[in-house]
Amino acid sequence: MTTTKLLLPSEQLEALLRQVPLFAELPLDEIHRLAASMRLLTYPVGTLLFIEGDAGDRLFVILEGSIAIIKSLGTPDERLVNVRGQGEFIGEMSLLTGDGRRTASARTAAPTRLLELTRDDFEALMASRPALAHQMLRVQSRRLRDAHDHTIRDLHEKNERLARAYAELQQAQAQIIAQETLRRELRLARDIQQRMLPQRLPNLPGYTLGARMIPAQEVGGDFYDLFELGGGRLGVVVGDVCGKGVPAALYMALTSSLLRAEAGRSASPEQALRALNRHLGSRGADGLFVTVIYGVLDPVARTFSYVRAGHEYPLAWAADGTPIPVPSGRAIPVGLFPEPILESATLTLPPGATLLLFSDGVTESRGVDHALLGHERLRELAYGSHASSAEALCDELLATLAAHQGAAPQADDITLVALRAR
Amino acid sequence: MDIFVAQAQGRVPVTVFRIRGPITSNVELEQQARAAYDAGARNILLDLSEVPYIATYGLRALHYIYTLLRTSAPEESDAAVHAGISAGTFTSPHLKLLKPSAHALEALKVAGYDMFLEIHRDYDKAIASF
Repeated sequence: MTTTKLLLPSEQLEALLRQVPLFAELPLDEIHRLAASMRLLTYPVGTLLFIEGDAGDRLFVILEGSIAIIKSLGTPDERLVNVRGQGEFIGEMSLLTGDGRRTASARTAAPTRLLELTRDDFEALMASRPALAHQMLRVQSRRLRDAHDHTIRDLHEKNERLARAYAELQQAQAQIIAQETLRRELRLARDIQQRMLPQRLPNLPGYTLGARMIPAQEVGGDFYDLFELGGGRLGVVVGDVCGKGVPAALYMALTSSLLRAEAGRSASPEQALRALNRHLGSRGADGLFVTVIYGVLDPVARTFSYVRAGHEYPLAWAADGTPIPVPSGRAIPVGLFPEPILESATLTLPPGATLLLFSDGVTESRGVDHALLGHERLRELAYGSHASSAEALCDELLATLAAHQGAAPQADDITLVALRAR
Repeated sequence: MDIFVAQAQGRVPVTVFRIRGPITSNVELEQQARAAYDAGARNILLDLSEVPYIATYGLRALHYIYTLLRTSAPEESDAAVHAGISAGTFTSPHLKLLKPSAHALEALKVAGYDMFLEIHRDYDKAIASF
């Protein structure tokens, strides 16, 4: 900070004093007296002249430049009260108030030249020139009125800001409520969807059964079903609606219900799936389709007769881990064409054999390095498993999937259905 | 997933979508196909050489594009398509695939998409096949 205090020739100082409205009417002898006692100060921009709360014993008259009057300087409540310019005076409050403290801070807003008047000289001047005191009182009154108006305006602005903040708060609260409602409804949808899956697997003598479905989102497009058919037979379904979320879940619910109804009255799995395709086609679900494998396990004949509609091929293996050949025919998902190409086949499951149906969420499970689990790895895991039951096999595979996935997000629904012949 | 669109000229104009990254969403691919169709594209080749795998969303997008480009010509009627797929004589004349990776090809085959979409290994032959 550069401060220059100059003692100018009295003629020059008198000329400057004449330019100040407050002193313009003073007689020559008073001007002489003032010129003898006042000092000329020069400050660069940004100079802090005094700080609110400090003791003040002098008044300044601005000859040139401008000074910002600031309340609560350096605090979150800092506020510019006013900017005083040429011909105005500052610092008079501490000379007028009883405690002599600065009521605001002052900082130069431009290179500024000031005249400095001490408390003693100020009081002497006021005593000798009541008209000057009167004029000063008028200025003070105007400043008080301005300050009052400013305070009112400030209050209005604060009220408006408060009202806006309150409205925003209400809006945010409404959004939070809507999001919470949506979350609650999704949780409810998930519960409903989970309840659509078999709550208890059928008891099939000579077999252990296991099934797991882990949706990637609150609700998913995968589903499975195991239901008793006549003659001790068991219907087994795994399906995957393309997509995730609520649309896929609704389509999944529709597909699952229709297929179970058709399974009960169809002569073969293929007939049931063709009927399902007609139902879905007639409902015209835009862009949605479903891959399905539906089979009938005959525990007496030890066969699994199935139809596949664009779904993953099943895996089957003997007790010693030897793969049981599975036809690799071609088939198209249900819902794509009016008459889909389907693949029907029958597998024989000797004692100790295991059958695994799964969705592509298993083989497409991705690790943090984006590597897919893949079909080859799944076959290795399945054929090499020593799990004691179908359910244990599902849990073992899920644990391996979780380890493979690590911290990576689950990309797709994961479904496993296993049957093991005793 | 990034999609780069280019034009090629065989016997007919062909719009080539070079896709980079796994196809795990249907939205972007369907939107790009729709925009190309609205701009006049009637034949699309999907270059899958930089697609490590295709999720079910990708299959959905492929079917969407297949349906978008399908015309009302007699050889593309429901009956003709079904008979042609069953006999192995029908593939879409308007949507074809180029060089899918092993994973992507597996997904296409499991879902039977190779029954109605031609899969090419050579770019020039693929363009010439339209």
